[in-house]
Amino acid sequence: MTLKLQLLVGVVVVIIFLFLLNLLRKRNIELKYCLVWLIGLISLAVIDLFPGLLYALAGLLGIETPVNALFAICIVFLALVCVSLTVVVSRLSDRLRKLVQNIAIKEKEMADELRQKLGESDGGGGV
Amino acid sequence: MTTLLIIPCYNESATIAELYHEIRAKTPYDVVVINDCSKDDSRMILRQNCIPHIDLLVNLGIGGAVQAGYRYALRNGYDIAVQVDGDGQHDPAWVSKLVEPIECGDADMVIGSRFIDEQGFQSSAARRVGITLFKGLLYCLRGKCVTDATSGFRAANRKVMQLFDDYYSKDYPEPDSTALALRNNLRVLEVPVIMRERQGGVSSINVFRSVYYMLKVSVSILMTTIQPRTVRV
Repeated sequence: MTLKLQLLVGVVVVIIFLFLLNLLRKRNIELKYCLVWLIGLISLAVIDLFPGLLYALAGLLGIETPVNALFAICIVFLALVCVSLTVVVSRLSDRLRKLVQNIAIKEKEMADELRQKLGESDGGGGV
Repeated sequence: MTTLLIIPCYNESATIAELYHEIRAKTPYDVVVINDCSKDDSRMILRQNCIPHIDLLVNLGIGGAVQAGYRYALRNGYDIAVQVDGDGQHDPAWVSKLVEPIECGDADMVIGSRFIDEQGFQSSAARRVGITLFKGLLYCLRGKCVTDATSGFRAANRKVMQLFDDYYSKDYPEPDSTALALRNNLRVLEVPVIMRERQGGVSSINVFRSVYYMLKVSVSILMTTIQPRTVRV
């Protein structure tokens, strides 16, 4: 890894870190979901400071150019984050569905109760 | 035994009132229409005609609407819930045929099939390809011949309602809910019915979606085999 690349990565890491910090400050992001990014960033910073780690890793994985090892790691990391986000979205849509159904059912039950209390003859033949 | 007819309704203002009055004339059962956030004036028509209905605040798709109906039936102590399409394809006169085997205790779930007697509207060619595919899949995986797994004309007892309340696909739910019931060792029975051509509305399945439809439902049926059983019989 050249010094130039090291500096570039370092600057990018700092910018993203500040960006995340700002999101956290404004409470635009939940710490729970932010942690994974922070850990990723810290790992990147460590590799940037000690490129020897990257060379060792590249050798271990049989990747000739160390930078490619960095890319490979990043891609796997991003893919994992994407999958975890899909899981979160699925859970949310499931909860939303249940919520909407239960509110709607409750609404009907309350309307039926009210009608019964008022003693109106119910033309619709409700429950 | 008390029976509730669940009618999912999405933009069915042209047929829904007529269907309700037909049901009132032909059957003694309670009805609840699930209005899945229709964009037309379905809601107004439901109110004006005093049709018992549930208004969903957010569009949930056919699966979410039907599931709301099953939950409503469970909460209000109904023994049997029958699903009837809101577009007039299903003649309410057949409902008693669907309910009968459950009342006798011969089945947990009854599906009204167009393809036993092969009478009446036999669906489009494209759709029949899908139906044949699902029939084969269900036969291979569950060892049971279900001739019309896509039929939305079906009756369920409380055990099945509980299962569907727990899990029901969001879109195109019929075939894989059938697979789910079979997976849970529930007794699924088919009875012949005659269906009419839809009287209004637009089918939820168009040409462009049919590939996605077959793929999604096939995978969904496959998945049921590795999902844990939730009902102990």
